[in-house]
Amino acid sequence: MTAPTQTPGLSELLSALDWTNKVVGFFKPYKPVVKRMRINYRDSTSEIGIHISIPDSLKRRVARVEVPAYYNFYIYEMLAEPFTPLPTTLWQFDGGKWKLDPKHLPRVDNFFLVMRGRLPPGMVGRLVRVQEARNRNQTESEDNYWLDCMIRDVELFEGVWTALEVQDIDVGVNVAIDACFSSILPKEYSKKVDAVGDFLRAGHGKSRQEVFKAWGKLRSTNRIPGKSVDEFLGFMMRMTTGELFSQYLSVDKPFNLGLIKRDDKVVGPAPKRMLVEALTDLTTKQPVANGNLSFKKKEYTQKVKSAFEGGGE
Amino acid sequence: MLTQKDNTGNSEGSGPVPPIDAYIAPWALPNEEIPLHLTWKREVFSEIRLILPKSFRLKGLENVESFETDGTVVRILSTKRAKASEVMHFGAVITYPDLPKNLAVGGKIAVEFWNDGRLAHTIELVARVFRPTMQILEVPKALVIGEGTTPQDIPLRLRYVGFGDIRLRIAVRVGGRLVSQGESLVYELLKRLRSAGLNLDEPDTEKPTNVGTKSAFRVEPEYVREVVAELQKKVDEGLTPSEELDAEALEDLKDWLAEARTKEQYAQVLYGRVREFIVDILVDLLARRPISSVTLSDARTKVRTSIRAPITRIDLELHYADKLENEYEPVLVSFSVEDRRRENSPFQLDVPIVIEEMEDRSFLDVVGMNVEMVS
Repeated sequence: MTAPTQTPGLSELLSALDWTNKVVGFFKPYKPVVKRMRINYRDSTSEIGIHISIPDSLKRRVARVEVPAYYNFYIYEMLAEPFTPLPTTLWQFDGGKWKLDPKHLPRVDNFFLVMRGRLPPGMVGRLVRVQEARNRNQTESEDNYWLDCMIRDVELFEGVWTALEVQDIDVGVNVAIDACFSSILPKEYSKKVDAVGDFLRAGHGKSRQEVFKAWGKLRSTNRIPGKSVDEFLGFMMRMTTGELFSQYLSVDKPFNLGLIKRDDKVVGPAPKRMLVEALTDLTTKQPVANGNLSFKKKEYTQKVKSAFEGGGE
Repeated sequence: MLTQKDNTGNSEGSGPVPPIDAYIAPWALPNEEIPLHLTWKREVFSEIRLILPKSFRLKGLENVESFETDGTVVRILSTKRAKASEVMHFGAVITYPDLPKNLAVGGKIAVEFWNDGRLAHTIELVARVFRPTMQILEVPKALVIGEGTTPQDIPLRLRYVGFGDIRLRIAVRVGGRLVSQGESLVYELLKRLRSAGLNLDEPDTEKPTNVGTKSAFRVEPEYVREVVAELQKKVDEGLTPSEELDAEALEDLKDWLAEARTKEQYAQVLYGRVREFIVDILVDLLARRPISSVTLSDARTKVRTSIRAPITRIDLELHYADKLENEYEPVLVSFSVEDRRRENSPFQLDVPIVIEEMEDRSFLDVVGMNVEMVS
């Protein structure tokens, strides 16, 4: 069997990324500096982050900042520098354009704007292959996940790279955390579950004696001290912020930690896992990247435990 | 020779060829894609051979211009090259396409770099595949059904061995009929409402029906209202019958809810009941991890079933699947039922399966572990 691989259309890919150049051109009056440009491999989007300057004098003069929505790009995030997030609703989509009334901006000069555009499906997958271990390798204290990226077609990649300086490859890892929370659940709570079940069953039956027996058992479980569900849920939410969770993560070079957030897609009243993004940079000089992401589960569980028992976080 | 421990290494032999860096993903589940790649500088080899063990399969090649293969020997004739860089690379993705009998298997992959008929370098990589297994340590000999008494617990002592987080589902067969189920929150609530009943004529004063209120858990009333609204919406929209709630049962529930809505106590009692169930489910959720590698698909292992004919045995099936949805051979156990009642009339039976012990023999740090090499 002989199978020569063919180079997929570079021009197609470049045109799908071209909105970034056009957008930068449109922001010329606001002195754009491109700070970030990347392809998000997981959700097939291209992203550009630019620094722009809109001094107060200009805010008063300019009625509206308007940018045509090339390739259906959208405003992903806007920050007043250094770090204050602004609501993206400041931007209105109207007549195929993104519009901003600069008078609504806070009284600072510098802003950071992140925009995202969708890429045709299957396209980013032709540039880079990204994979993470599906199952953790556990040690006593850590859960490890291998990460691996490689350029799939260095000729195509070089074409895109010289045109756009594509950076940042993101690898997403789902880190399971429910076991860390299970461990703080006092054994008595499961007794309570059984007591509730037994009581309900007895209540449905005809034997008064059974009902009173079950009721007595249930009452005894009421003495179990504990937090209310709301307190408990609130506690879990505080324990799963990206900021706190990142302290229990480490990743090998050439990766860096990116966005860390709770996975809210998993249904149920309690958080089950965290989405952790590891970022790296592939170039024609470094066409592959591999390393480990470590979750220090023992330390994290201890933190959760002491915060739960002590009430302080 | 490349050692597996650090997954980086240099080739054997000496000569003008600069070092070759090689990587293979250090662990994998059965059927998981295992990426490997090699990088080096400058040298253009006339051929690179990738020799795979027969039990592994090639899923793809990366950055390869042309190749030939018969399935186990892959002859890479040329790789793609960047204009502005002297770094060369290619990658491959392989997989172990079966569920191995052994819990840890390895396959040697030889990568040979040829130059004009001369073998310049050989690099050896090892693909390592791990799997989990469940074992039953002990089951009771018989379940005794007495007159008007609840049967004793059926204690199971289980052992988890190996690698890979699993979801464990216990299925119960009574008289050949499957009686376990999976469920969503709404189905779960409906199921519990139906089995517990909702006595609307009886306000919750004397008889303590509102058991959730002063318990260890309290639930935000707003959350309960949302769940109740969702439940009613689902019932009104028409639910798809499930194994546990068949079409007839759903119709019953619908009528019952419609009738119940006309009564004064309805909201209060329903909210109280739903609140209890939510507490119940929340605690279940957290109790669902007997050990960190095992999640139970249903923590409430008390399976309720109706017994219509005299039965002499109950069969348990332990099904488990890993993160890649590899379903492993289920573990089967059966035990006899001793019916000591005077009359064999149809009755409701709780089969109270209790996982009394789950011994945890998860493999720790598989990277350094010895594996059985397969061809």
